[in-house]
Amino acid sequence: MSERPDNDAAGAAGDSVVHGERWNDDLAAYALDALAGEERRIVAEHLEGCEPCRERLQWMLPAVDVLPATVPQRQPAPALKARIMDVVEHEAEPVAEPSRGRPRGLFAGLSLRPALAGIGVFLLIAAAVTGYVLRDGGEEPSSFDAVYTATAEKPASGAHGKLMVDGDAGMLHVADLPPTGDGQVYQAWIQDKGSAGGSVHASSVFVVSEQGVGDVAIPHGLSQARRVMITREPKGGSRHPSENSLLTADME
Amino acid sequence: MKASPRAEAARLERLADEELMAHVDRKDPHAFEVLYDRHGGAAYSLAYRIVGDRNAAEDVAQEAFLSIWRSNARFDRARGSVRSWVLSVVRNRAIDALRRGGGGAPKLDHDDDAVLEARPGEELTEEEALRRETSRELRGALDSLPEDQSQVIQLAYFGGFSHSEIAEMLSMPLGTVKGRMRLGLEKIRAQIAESITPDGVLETI
Repeated sequence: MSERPDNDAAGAAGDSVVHGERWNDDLAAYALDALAGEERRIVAEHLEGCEPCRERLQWMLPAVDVLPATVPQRQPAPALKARIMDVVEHEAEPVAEPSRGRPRGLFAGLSLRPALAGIGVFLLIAAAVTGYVLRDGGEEPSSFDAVYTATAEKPASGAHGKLMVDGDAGMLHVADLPPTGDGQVYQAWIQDKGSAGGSVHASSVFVVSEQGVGDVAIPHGLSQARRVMITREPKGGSRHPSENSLLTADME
Repeated sequence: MKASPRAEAARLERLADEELMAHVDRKDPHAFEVLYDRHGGAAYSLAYRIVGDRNAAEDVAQEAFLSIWRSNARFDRARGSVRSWVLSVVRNRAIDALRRGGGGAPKLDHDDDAVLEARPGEELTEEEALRRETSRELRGALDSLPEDQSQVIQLAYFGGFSHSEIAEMLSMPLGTVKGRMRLGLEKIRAQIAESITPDGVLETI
């Protein structure tokens, strides 16, 4: 479309020139998004029924599209990309991959999510599977690699739990944990195997019922874990445990 | 056999924008990152030109790209290139931000920008250097327009003003404003004719 379209031919004989004069200026303003309200509607309606004017607009649009390229070019701060990609990776659907043998059973899919998934996602996962896994000591699905008992650091508290592991993911069911205070949640921590006690990583946050019962999904990190621990933390969770473990599931 | 992450990234980087968009539509974050790498600089530059503030420009660019990611803004091949579409999303967000902030008329000269662009010692990739050179050439084309035509086009595109607001601002008849817009766009169109594909789409600049 290098030749300028002649929309003067659109009108009836005798008024073709008038047609072009009538619309060409409006089309330029329309292309620049400089028409408002009723005027914009009138031009849009006219375009629906006038092929020559549509061609004329199409011919003109590259002159508008080039305007951003006339702007002095700057480099955004790298932090902008980091912020955008944080959100994108958080929101990304797990990409379907051929089976690598590992994910299966109840937690297939959970463990595919990238490690960048945030605490909010963990809560959603926990909520989604809570009703399926266990209900106050109900039956366990049989497809776990291993099940470990979680015991209270202070046995007198009576708190206990069960950690069900499926590959790198797992589900911890707890009971008889005391209610958290206002502005507090429980948080799971994973301690790795390895020398010097192994590093500790933050995992999901969760709350318990009035009876002290709750379930927390642990989407990844268990294949190299030595133990899973539970602490009370401020709402939103913490980067590091702020107290000694209340409940621990030893996996060795 | 599944490709390694590096090979997959290299494959995505070789895709044309339109092919890349198919992956973005499928919520592939790696494809989206390539899209950002290609157009993030131009998007931020446009946002900065409109809102005139670094932090606000970053907010606009972030909003626009997340809108694209979440598919609130849909790519329409019929409307032009992916780059034009991305930048139109950015422009709309920036104009919204300008109106929310009660911003006035944008500056119409680029003296400070020219100084910034000439800043020495900044490491540029070959692509960035080319983009800046192209920008300078195109800005020259815009600047070569008669002042009255350049002014109304810039007020409309970068300021988000309607033709009636511009007529009031410049104390001139509505018809004169629209006529100057048309004449200006026709001249720009003539100057960039070689960069337009046979189907009327502006090649990526």
